[in-house]
Amino acid sequence: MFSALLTLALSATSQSMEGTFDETFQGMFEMPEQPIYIPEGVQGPLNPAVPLDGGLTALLLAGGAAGYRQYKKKKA
Amino acid sequence: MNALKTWAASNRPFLLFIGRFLITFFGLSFLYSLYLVYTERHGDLDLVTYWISRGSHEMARFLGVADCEWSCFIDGCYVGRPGRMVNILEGCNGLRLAIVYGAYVIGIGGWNWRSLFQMTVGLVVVQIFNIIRIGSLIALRDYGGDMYFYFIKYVFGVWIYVSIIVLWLFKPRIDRWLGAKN
Repeated sequence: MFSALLTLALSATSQSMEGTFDETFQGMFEMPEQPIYIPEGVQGPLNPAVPLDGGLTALLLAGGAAGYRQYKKKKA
Repeated sequence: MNALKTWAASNRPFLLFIGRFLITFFGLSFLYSLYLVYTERHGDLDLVTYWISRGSHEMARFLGVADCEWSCFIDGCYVGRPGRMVNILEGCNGLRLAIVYGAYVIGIGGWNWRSLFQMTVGLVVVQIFNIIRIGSLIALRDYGGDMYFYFIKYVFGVWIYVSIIVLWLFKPRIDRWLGAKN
């Protein structure tokens, strides 16, 4: 009687353990649907560049304006 | 249309300036681009970037950067202390800005010896400003902290552009020093 009860209890426990394991490891090796977050801009590049050409168009426009100013001055 | 023609007739000298300014800018830029293509095909680094990085290395050493190293590859140079280097690429050498400066000088003064002299001196001065800029950035990077990012993003960009505009504004005075009549 006791052994029959023990067998019943053990089989119930092992079934619930299996259920817990299954839940925990289900889809463990599947890729998540949402894109993986990769932090950017937190740390700059190891050897950053020191660019200068960003404002070339602005400088050309400033040159045109300076030239116009000079000719207006000459004209006056 | 008539108003535009009248404006063009009354501002003929300004239009001539714009023409010379743009032709000189695009002409010199084209020559520089040809040179870059030539160096790329030969697997070399362009000499302007090379000398600017070398000057920046000397400037950084002058400013007290200990163990400052300098190494060049086909795509650019690395200058600074190991682990805290800056990458000096073709876009960092400042020559395109110097070309804009030179184009303005030629645009205002025309193709004469005074303009050519000022253009040559201006090219050297702009490059010296750029060497001071990069040398200081290497020193700031070596010093550490957030100052480097602040200076690279705002201060030095403004510094070099304003220096060019100030050189432009000095042009009439330099012309007078060189003996121009007006």
